[in-house]
Amino acid sequence: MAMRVHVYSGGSQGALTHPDVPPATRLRELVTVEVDELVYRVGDETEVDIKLTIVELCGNEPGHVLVHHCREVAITVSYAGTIAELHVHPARHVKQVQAMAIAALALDAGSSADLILRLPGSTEELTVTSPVGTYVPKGTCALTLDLVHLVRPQG
Amino acid sequence: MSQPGVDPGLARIEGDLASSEFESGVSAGLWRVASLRWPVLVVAITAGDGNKLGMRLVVDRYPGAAPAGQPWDLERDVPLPTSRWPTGGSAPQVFRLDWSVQNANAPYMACDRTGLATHSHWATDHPGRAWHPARTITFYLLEISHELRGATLWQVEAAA
Repeated sequence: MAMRVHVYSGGSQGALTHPDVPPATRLRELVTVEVDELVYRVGDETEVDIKLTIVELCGNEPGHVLVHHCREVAITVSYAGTIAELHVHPARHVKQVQAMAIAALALDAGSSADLILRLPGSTEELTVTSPVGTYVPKGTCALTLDLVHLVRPQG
Repeated sequence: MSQPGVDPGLARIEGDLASSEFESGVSAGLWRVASLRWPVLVVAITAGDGNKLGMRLVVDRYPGAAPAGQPWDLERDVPLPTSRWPTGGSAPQVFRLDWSVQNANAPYMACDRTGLATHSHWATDHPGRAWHPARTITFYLLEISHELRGATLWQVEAAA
């Protein structure tokens, strides 16, 4: 049965989807890995061997892999005049980064329920299910984010 | 490309359910598809306490029209009684006993068909949170998921 593999990369929000991959295909046939780049499963900090087959890597589930140049990303999160400095693996989900920022800023559950992460100057929130490395362009391993409250429509 | 005889909305949503955005949410444990029997999509969305909220979404005319959702009992395949709607965090502002019950049990949100239809200004006042034809089902689920972050769900064992 053919499988789906989504390949994410640094600075490229969104993924390249390979929709019909034979299970015995080796990952190296799907990804281009440049010097200094490593490959990870999204959500997992362990480097992936690109000689593995897709079924060895993902089982029967759709695959999510990240090709990235950073081993760690230094993230500066701004919230209401305060700053949190985080060091995060690029394969971590934005959702995890958001939780880490809320914890680092010691925000309680009540005041943090509506918080989202944005790039400075943007009105779009970061996709919580994406690996944070997709927001880190090549040439840097640093990222600056704003933690802001969502406005909920009322009335 | 759509196949002859296949509703274009069905073809579109099947494609969106196979997208990286949707499947990364499944992989991250935020949601899963329970069933798709056109034009009804039933999903389970993870709340802050780790339990799953069933949602029944009518998705005819997708993506031109917003999904029309309501909390759903996944085991009995019936509307979820209001006594079992999510509580805590911002959930009561969305699953409102003083509004949703009179409006098809819809969440009070700009991503939902009923919310938009009853608040014509939301689309212009809250463009970042409102449905429009360029949205996908993942947007709707992310919006619900946000509102469930601080929520707890009624469980059978909790009532025993």
